Amino acid sequence: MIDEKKLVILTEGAKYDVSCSSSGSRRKNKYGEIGNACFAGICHSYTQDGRCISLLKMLMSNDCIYDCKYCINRATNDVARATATPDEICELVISFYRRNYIEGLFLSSAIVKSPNHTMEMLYLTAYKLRKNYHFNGYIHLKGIPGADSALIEAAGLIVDRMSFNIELPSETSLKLLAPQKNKTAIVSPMKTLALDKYYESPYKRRRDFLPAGQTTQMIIGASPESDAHILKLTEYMYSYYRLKRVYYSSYIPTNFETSLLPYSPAPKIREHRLYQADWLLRYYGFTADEITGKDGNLSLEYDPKCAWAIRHMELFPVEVNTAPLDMLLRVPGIGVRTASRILIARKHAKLDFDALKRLRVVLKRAMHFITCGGKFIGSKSEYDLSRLLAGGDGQNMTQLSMFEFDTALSALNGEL
Amino acid sequence: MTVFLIEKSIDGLYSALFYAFEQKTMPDAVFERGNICNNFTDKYIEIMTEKEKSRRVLTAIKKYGGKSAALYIEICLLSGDENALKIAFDFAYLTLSERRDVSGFLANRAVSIFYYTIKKVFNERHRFFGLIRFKETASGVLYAAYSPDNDITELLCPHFIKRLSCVPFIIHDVKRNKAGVSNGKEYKIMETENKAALNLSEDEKAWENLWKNYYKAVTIKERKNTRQQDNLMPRRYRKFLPETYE
Repeated sequence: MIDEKKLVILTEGAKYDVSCSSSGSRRKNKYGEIGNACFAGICHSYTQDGRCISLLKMLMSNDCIYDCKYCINRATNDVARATATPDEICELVISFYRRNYIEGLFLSSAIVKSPNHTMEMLYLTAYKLRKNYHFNGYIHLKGIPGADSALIEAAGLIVDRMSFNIELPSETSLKLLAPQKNKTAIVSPMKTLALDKYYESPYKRRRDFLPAGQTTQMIIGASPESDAHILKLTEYMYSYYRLKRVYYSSYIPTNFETSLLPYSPAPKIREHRLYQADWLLRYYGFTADEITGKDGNLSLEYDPKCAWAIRHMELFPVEVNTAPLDMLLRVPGIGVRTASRILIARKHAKLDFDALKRLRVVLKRAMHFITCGGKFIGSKSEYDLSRLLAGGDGQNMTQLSMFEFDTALSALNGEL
Repeated sequence: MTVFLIEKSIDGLYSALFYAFEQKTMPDAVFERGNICNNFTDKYIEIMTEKEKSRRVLTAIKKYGGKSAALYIEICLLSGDENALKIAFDFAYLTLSERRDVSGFLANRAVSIFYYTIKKVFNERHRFFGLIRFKETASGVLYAAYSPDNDITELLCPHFIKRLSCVPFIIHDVKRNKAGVSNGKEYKIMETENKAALNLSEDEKAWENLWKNYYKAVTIKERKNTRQQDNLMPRRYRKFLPETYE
């Protein structure tokens, strides 16, 4: 059984990785073996910071040879070091899984000795878990930039999801803050994982290569890139690297010895707005250019969809009884599920505002952008409108930012 | 106000529907027999369960609403909502009077309420896919106690059979005094006491302790947000979770 202190050290080192989702894989149980994956993902617990625990998130080792400025495990930082053996990790996963504490394993590691050695150990752990411990639950393996592509491909065949963190939104920032990492080393394995051959037969038919795809993560607010830049990059990665998700993590200061990093944490509301924008990219048919305003940053006062709608009042109001799906999706207060409910419901009956309430449309926002059977109940003045959407009348900016602070924190929820 | 008093089962509900169509009376409320105090202003009609009538109603529901309508009505009866019987009744009544599948009538009051009621049941089921906590007993059987809002034990068992494959387990609903007991391949629902004496395995305490330590370590203290935590993991569930009970 793994030592308690060791587990704590390795967990502390891994917790700043945002990804904890266990969705996207339909891995089946093999008779007599343990575990399967649930396509929707399952959250098993929630910590005091409001994030879900779905996977056992830990490092194999925090003993790093790199010295990235923003990272808590950097070589020059004075923290307790620990390394777990593959068997210790496997035993822990199986015991937690049996008790239904977790949905699977999220395994990452600091760079021990060399990238190849580290990747080998990660692969070995995943391999043992599958073959010796007969585990069919979810495994998310962190890829190590600079490791051999054969190792990365082999890992892709036995785990459900892999991720390479691009860490920072531009090459310049990467050079400055993580001098031992380089863009090519990070991006080329991402390209490998996105190769067409894995999405054609025989891989695709057997669905055995990364059924839950690949993801990435970047730190927001440690470097000066604008939201427009970040969203452009995100959009690019979604279309060329077949990414399932891009995660953003607000910068939290862990290093006060360098002047290269900002002294205060990045505002969480910014992270929240980026996630909202990310959703618009993936599910609502928006492009990155549409979402960001003229100054290249997202509005902190209201969400990106409202901001877009206010800039395009000429397109509104739309009639909910006739509007096509792509237009409904652009109405603030109507989401993907609500829109599909509207499509179903309006086949059978003409919708009025009471009906919309029953369909759980957020009328508080939506009423300014829609008509129901020709009726309009929203605000007619654009000035009032932007004030109403930003947080109600009578609220001054300080109160507003407090309120927004709370919503921003909810971005940490495990669904993200 | 007309109140139907019925047996809380699918047969009881369908017998009531048969009665409603036969007598051309619509109830204002439908309650379980024996669960309600009479008063003098309401009119109570007690409806006996009759298998044959129930079967005929079921056939009609399947014919007009499809198999899914019949299934969803059963799910609705598992709901902990005090009006669940009336909600299911209204939906079934609408299916029979419209003589077609009404599940798409989402703007209709009865359908909308029905839809959100069964959604709540499914949502809680999904929640407990994660929140069930097994303890390993000395004999190797996994045991979990919980107290859900809706009667979801029989919805949970198939999930854990698939997942734990061959490991016997017990999921014990201490609020309803019933348990899903599985030998690893099939399960049965049994009536129980609300407490069980457990003989835990040797390592159980140690693993539970590791889990508690993990739970503490993975929290990011700089971003504390207990309101979010309360929304996603309501306090009423926590007394069964090792990481949150004291």
